[in-house]
Amino acid sequence: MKAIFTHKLLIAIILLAALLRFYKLSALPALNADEAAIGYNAYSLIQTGKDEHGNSWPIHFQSFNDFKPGLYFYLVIPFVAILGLSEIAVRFPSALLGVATVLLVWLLVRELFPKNKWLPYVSALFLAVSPWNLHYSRGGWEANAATFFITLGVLGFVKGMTSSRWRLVWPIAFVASLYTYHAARVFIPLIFISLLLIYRESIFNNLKKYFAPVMLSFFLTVPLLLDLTGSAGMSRAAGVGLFADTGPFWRINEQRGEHEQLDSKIARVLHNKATNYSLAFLQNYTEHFWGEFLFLSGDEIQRNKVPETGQMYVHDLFFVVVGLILIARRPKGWGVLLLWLAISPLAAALTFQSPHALRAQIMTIPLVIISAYGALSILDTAKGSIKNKTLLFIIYFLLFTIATWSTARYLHEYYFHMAKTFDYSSQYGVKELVSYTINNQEKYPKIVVTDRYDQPYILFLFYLKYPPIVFQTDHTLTERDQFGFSTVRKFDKYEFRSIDPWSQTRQEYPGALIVGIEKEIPDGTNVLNTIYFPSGRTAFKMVGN
Amino acid sequence: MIKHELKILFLILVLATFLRFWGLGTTPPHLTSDEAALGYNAYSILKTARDEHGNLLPIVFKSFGDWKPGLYVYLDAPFVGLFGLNEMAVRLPGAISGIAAVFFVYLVGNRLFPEKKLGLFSSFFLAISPWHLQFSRGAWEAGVALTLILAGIYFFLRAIQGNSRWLWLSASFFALTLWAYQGGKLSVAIVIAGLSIFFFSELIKVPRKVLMLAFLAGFIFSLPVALSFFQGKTGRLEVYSVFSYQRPEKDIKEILDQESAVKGSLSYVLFHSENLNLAQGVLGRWMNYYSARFLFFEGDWSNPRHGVPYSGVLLLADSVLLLLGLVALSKAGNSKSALFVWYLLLLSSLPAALSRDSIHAVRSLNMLFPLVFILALGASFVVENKKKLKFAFPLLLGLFFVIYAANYTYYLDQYWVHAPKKNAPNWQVGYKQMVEKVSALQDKYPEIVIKQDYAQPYIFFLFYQKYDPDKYQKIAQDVYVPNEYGDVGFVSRLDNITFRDINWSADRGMSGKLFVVDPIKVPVADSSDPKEFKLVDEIKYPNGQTAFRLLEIL
Repeated sequence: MKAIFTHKLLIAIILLAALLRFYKLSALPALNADEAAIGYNAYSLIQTGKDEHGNSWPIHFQSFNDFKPGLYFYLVIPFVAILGLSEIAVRFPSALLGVATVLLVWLLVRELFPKNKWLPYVSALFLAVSPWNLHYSRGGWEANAATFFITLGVLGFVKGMTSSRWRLVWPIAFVASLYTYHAARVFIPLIFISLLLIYRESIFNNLKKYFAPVMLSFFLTVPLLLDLTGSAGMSRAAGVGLFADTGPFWRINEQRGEHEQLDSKIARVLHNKATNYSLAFLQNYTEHFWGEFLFLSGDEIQRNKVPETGQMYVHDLFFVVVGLILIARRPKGWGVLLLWLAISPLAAALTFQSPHALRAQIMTIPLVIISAYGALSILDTAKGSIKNKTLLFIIYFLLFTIATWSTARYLHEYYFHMAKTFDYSSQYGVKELVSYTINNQEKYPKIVVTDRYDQPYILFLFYLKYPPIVFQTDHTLTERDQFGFSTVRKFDKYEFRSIDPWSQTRQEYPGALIVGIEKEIPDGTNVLNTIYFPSGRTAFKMVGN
Repeated sequence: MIKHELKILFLILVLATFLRFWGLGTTPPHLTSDEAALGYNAYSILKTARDEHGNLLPIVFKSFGDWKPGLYVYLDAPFVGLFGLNEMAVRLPGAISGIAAVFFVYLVGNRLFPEKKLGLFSSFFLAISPWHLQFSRGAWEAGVALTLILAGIYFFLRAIQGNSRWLWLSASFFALTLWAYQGGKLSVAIVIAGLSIFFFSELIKVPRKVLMLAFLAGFIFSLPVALSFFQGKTGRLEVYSVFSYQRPEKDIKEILDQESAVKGSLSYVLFHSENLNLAQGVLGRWMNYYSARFLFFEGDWSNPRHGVPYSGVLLLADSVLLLLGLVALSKAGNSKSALFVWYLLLLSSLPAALSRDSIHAVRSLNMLFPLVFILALGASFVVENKKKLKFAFPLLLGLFFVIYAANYTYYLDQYWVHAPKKNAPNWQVGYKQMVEKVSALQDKYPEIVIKQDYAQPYIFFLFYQKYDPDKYQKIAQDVYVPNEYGDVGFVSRLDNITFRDINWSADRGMSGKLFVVDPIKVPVADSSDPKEFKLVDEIKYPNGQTAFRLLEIL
């Protein structure tokens, strides 16, 4: 009876995870340019065997010249093949992997703490409702797929101590994450070393059994390494890496200038590139543990956040702190998760935007488990030390109410406020814009669209379902901008450019349909149609020239 | 053994003294207006027994209208008498109380964790603490309050650990903090509440009589200050308090419009209420005090005067000890002292979190107690576990010493070389020189106009001219202009000097007068015509930029 009940509980948690990940998945949030790129490239591969730029079956997708790691694209292919080129097809794999990660966490915690009966369930539940995990499960985010693979890999490694089948799982899972997301390439070697250190005795005694898995992962990694020596190489690192921020560099001059003698030994020893960039790196790293980021406001990038919500819930603050104190008292069994937590933000800290919720998403797993441990310990302690049943009930009730309230508040913010507060951040309105132009494109020789929002061309390709075979031969990528991104300025009768100054654009494109944002189109112009953001603010205005 | 310990303590105190006295008169690079006010009021008390406004031996000094509790002024009077009215004399009480704090931390450390003998480690970490140095090298009332609270804690612990007759002394020290620092009330209450909660079982064993005596002492000592609060001399609580600030109606409406809700609806009460917003604000600020940004990288990022550039209130290398210390504190379980340190760690930042600034290193200064004890716990944790690491121990320890020393050198460089230059404008550098130059010219002009400023230029004239207190008290009432919003007031004139806002388009024609202006309010390009103006003198910041220009209108 009890066994059925407990499994029922797990099923309920999984169902909850699925509900929160699939409900209104295609509408919220609006499809962004990266997701459109994933979808369109998958579409292009299905139809032509080549990506949008004509590369056949790539490991990294050239896309905006940012060379996106390709595994997630391939996961999307069957869904695009079945469901067609649509939002749901791009997002389905991610949401599915998000649900699967909840199950993996249940398995992992059960494996790590076999004596703690409730911890697997509470951990799974906390992950199921975690804002951090939910946000990236609801969208074609490669990072979320990488989180699934990494969790699977760690689970496989731990189970692999005793099971030969699992010893085949972890090499594949770890390598899969390398093919999925940049940050994993920093994370995986470090978590692997951590695992070797923690389980050194058992591994040392069974050294032979680890030969095959290690060789397997090596062979699986070779194509990736070969590809990285090509143009895919370091393009991304150069654009977003720590050194792309020149602040610490210029600070050297300022600081040496404040010394009596600029070139004195002390000035050079204290103020140099190594010191200033190390400090920047360390500060970036620690910012991922900042309370405001974790529990109150979350990431700064609007696309990565929900209004007034942290990466975790406010009540998690209490649970995580208690959890950590208790772990410090008795750290047995927590080694893997603590090291996991410690190395998670390293990749993000190597870039100049910190804290960064997306690049450090892998932190969620250990944090959620620690929070669950803290919560359970509080309940246990209360049960053990408080004899008065009413008081005990009140404490349970209060904790339950607070947790429910903050979850409800998050969902309220997600479904009622996010799209309206951050309407500039995602490409809201573009879908409506494209459906208008499809119906009216016969009337105009050219359609000129503002480039004020990120990469409009790919969203047009996506919603037009423009034939990839035509596009592949009929476009050019621009030079890289300062962040390393390129774009496409025109295909077919569509052009994407700045329409400022207005009078000049009008002269250049007689008879064209011109689409701009509110600011770009002067008052008094004869506007054919206006498209609004969910908030009611104007997204696009269209003018027939 | 004891003798050995005392020797080390002596060395630590020597170090503390050296770090606090060295160059005290010249670094920080300039007196703040608060320091000048404390010094001048001490001077005034010394000469006339009255403050600058003519009040006889006040308990709370009106000063700029911010009501400074008087202890620092009275502590400073003998030094001003001894050394004259100068920077060193103003800052000495702060520095000496800082050294006293190092001594008291030693005593408290030993009492709080007797089995670990944390006294030496704690006093060492306080002696070299960047945070404590910042506020003991200068006339900071909060620094004095910190020492008094430490003394209060020490005598409390002494009282409950045996000799209960010290309790009245503890109460008196706590009460005295009210005389020292306006912002100290809540901090002291938090400490006293903590002591009473965690050492309750010892406290109730104290004889009634002794308890009564302590209450009485505390009551008598705090009564005068308490009375002055009821007269409205509460400093700028209204201005600082977070509860004085709310979201604009427009913002609330925008949020509610998104879901077509109105104020008072269920959604507003549940998810968007003002109280919730306020609580979030306080929680956010509270967490800032535990951020690495504050502790290790930037310190008080809202006020450069509260720290040095690119350094936290702790050393970055302290992070290692802090983590180990937290582990040790967790392992200490439910011991009273450990719980008391946790309590202080979590609540000492509360007074600061309840104020409007996102971060404030002065109002959160009491965090130094828990932090210093945790660092000491971390250090002793290392010593206890040295056997586990075997041969690696000396290697790791050596490495850590090198890193720690390098880190400390970096901090000292920031303090001595960079802060005085980079933060010169924040330290109000330029006023001393300006007073000297204007004083030399004062007889040549019928009127000298100086830009009014929150830096309170008049106080620097009083201070550096050693203005006769008798003479100033007579005019104080006439020249003081209170602030209509309850914030600090201004002084409008002194002899032939007028302090007021400059309206250049009107003022540029007032021929014969001397104007002291900064290049922001009065751009150089707009005031360089040799036919109209004569640049009498110029005062520059260390980086070569202009602080003040003395312009004669022709």
